[in-house]
Amino acid sequence: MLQPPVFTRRQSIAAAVSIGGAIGISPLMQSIAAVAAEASADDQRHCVLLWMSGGPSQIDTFDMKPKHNNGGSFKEISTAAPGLRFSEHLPGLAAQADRLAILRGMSTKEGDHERGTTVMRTGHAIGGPVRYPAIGCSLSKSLRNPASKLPHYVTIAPGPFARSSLSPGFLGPKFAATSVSASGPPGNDSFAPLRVDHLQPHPMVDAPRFERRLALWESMQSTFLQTRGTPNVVAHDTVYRSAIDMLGSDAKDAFDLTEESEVVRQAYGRGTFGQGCLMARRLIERGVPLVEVTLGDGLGWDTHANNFDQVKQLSEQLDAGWSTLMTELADRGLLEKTTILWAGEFGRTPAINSNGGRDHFPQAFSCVLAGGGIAGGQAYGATSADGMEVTDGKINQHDLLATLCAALGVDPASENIAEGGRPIAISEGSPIRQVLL
Amino acid sequence: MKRLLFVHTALAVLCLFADVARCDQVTGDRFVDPSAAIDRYLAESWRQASIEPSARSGDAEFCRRVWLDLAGVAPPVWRLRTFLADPAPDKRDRLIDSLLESTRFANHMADRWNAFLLPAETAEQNRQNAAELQTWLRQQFLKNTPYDHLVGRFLTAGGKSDRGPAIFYTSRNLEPVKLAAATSRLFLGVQLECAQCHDHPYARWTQDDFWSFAAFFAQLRLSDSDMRGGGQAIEDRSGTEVLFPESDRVMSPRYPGASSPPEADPTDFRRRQLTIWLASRNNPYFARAAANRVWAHLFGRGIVDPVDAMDSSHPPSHPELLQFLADYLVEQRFDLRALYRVVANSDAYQRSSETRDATRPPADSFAAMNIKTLSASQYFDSLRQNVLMGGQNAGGTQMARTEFLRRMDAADADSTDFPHGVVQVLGMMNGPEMLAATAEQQSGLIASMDAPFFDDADRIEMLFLACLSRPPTDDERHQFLAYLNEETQQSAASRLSDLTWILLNTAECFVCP
Repeated sequence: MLQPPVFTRRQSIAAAVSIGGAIGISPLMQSIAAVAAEASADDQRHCVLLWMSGGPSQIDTFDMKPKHNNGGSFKEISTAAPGLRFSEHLPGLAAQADRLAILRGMSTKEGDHERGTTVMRTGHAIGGPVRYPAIGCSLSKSLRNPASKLPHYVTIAPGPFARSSLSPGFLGPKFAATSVSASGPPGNDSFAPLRVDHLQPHPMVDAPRFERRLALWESMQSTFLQTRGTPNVVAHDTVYRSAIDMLGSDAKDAFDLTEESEVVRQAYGRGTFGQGCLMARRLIERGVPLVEVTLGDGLGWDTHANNFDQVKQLSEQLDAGWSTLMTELADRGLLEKTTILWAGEFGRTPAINSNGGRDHFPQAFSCVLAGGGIAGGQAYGATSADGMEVTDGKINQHDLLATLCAALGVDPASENIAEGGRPIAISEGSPIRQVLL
Repeated sequence: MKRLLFVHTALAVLCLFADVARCDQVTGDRFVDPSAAIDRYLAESWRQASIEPSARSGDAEFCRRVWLDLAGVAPPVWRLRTFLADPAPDKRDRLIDSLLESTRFANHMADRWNAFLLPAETAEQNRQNAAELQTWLRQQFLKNTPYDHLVGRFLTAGGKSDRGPAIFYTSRNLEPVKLAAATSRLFLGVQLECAQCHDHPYARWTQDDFWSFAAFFAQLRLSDSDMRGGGQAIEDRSGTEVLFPESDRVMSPRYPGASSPPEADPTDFRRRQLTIWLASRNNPYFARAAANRVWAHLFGRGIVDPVDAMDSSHPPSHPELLQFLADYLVEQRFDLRALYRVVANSDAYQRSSETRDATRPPADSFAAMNIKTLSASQYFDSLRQNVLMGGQNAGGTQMARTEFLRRMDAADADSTDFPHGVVQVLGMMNGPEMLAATAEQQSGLIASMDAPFFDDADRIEMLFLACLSRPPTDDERHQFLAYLNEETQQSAASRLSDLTWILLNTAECFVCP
């Protein structure tokens, strides 16, 4: 088991003083910097999952077939990595292609949205005897920083579909993702609103009143614990105190995007995905190990009809959010500690159907790894000229998740204990060494 | 005299093996006072381990416990007041009896079994069919169907009339392997599926045992004719077989550990064949597993723990006690209520969970009551009954309940764990049900305190009875009075709202004492 790093108070204060002193920033900024330093110091690793709900088209994004009828109408562009080419609608990512490893040989057996989502997120099919946790839950458990006041796993706008694939399974609800919901569509001039459920006390309960409540609550709790301090009672108290700590700390400001400038918010894109990527950056700065951002609420990538208009529009959101996230993380020295996985439940048929759409295709599709621990600027694996089959570097979901673990410095074979005392590895696959640094 | 005693005992022993129907007159000495027998087994184990048991619970603690355990909800305030005021020495026995006879008991048991039988996601995605199973179970518990019959009916269910159980089979895609694993866990307390891939390292199960057991479920089909009208039905049709993995060997159905095949069934209805052995007193696991589950329900952990791994790597903490409870269940012809009654009437069940000194007896000694975390439905239903009190419309409350259960879902969590994290706790503190419970306009409890004949001390007592099922201590009364009378801008009602919030968020409110 990988032990999460532990920080002493003295270390983090020292870090904060040196940062504040060097740049001469305000006390408020200093306290934010302290939180950031505390959390991101030393070995804290982060993971960003970019989840493409509905199943993104590989041929129109990262595995172009411009010389074939299946290729469709999009043009190819060259990228920062010699020989590697993307869709014309991903210019920002093309400029940072040296940070990306494209896995073109993904292949699974699940062509159904819900089952495919479960397979890709947990590594396992629905309905076995073991309730496998989502990879985000397992990884956030391995990467968590016990000193952090923020949740270990935040999922942004996960959408209503296949929520059980996000379940912590046998790890238990303690390791469930904190969900940020997107309420309502963005207006023309505003940004997509993102909100954490139940983060604020009710409006009429102001801070002094909340404090008064807590003081008496505290007294009730400690009296009860004195004579009935069984493990479940102590755990209740511990979890409540961490929730109260979070409510009372600056850490929760991570969720408040209005602190960012108009320019920065604009660069990420105004939609849910773009603003979600911005929130991901703010969470990572404050030490959150795992953030997931979903693009395509309600199966947006499920382009059975009118594929090209939809993929163009989705690609623009994807490109702005993802590429700005990498730039900003790199500026802060955080990209090398942050591994990004781009994936959906499956790919889409190379053949274009009569509605100008593409259908479900789990046989041969692409996923992308980027950032920390990843040898970027390459495509691993290849599909045939028509895109119908994997001709080289065929991998399945187990290998993909194992590679993600390895890039994060987590041994995929490290075990958690399932119901009935059975040890279960985080991932049963083998990491692909060629894409790891 | 001696001889008489001998004959008596011999008959009692015979009873265990003979048809129980013929033994009505001769219930052995062993079962004269079963609750006292439970306490003797435990006392002996405490003596050997030099454990000092906790004191007898107070009436309020007992009342909250027995209501939450048997009715699935905290006592309503007026029932609690009546109970506390009742001077009769047999009031605990009477309360246990009346709860066991109530529809609440049947509902709560149906809730519990529904959770055992269905994976959480299934219940969520397939509400209609899950509700049918719930209804089916509730009917069984309402009629107090003997447990062996209940399981028998469950395992042979099919056709329109008993569609309820079908979801147990369909949620496991009618796969013999999954059904064999689930039924052995649930009804035998054994994880037979560990022998699916290799002979079980701890128990004496072999791969052959597992695959022959799975063969009882080889012929399940979804019945097309019943697909209309919402519910699903299943039936058995001969033709398909289970093969031993990576071989052509057809597995014929066989009871685990038995060397010969079961007696033939006239219509080759394999699930009925299985039931004849599984739900019978000749099956050494069945009654033990059932008794252990009853014990785990009331004490927060089984005599064998976990309850679905009763193999040699999990020895019972009190083997003779477990055997006694199992024998008693058989002797009572699998009358679950009877078993609940004698366990709830034991001194052990009525001990306090409070321990004064720093050393608490181990949880598996049962020398102090274990503190059980409430399930999401126990918490919500108590909140609805004692605090919301119909202050909202019924439909809205039902929606809030569904949402709360979804948010707090903790399938398979042990009642001696606290399974929730920061996400759930934020919801507890700031969620919609807490708003409703503490909003002056919506909370029935706060509204009810407007009555002119209430003084502040009455109001505080009422809050404690409603939220924690006990009156406040003197210290607490002073603290709460001080809160109500502090110099601030807050209105009186908003102070009551604060006090309600405080009590509802304490650990005490989230446990069964």
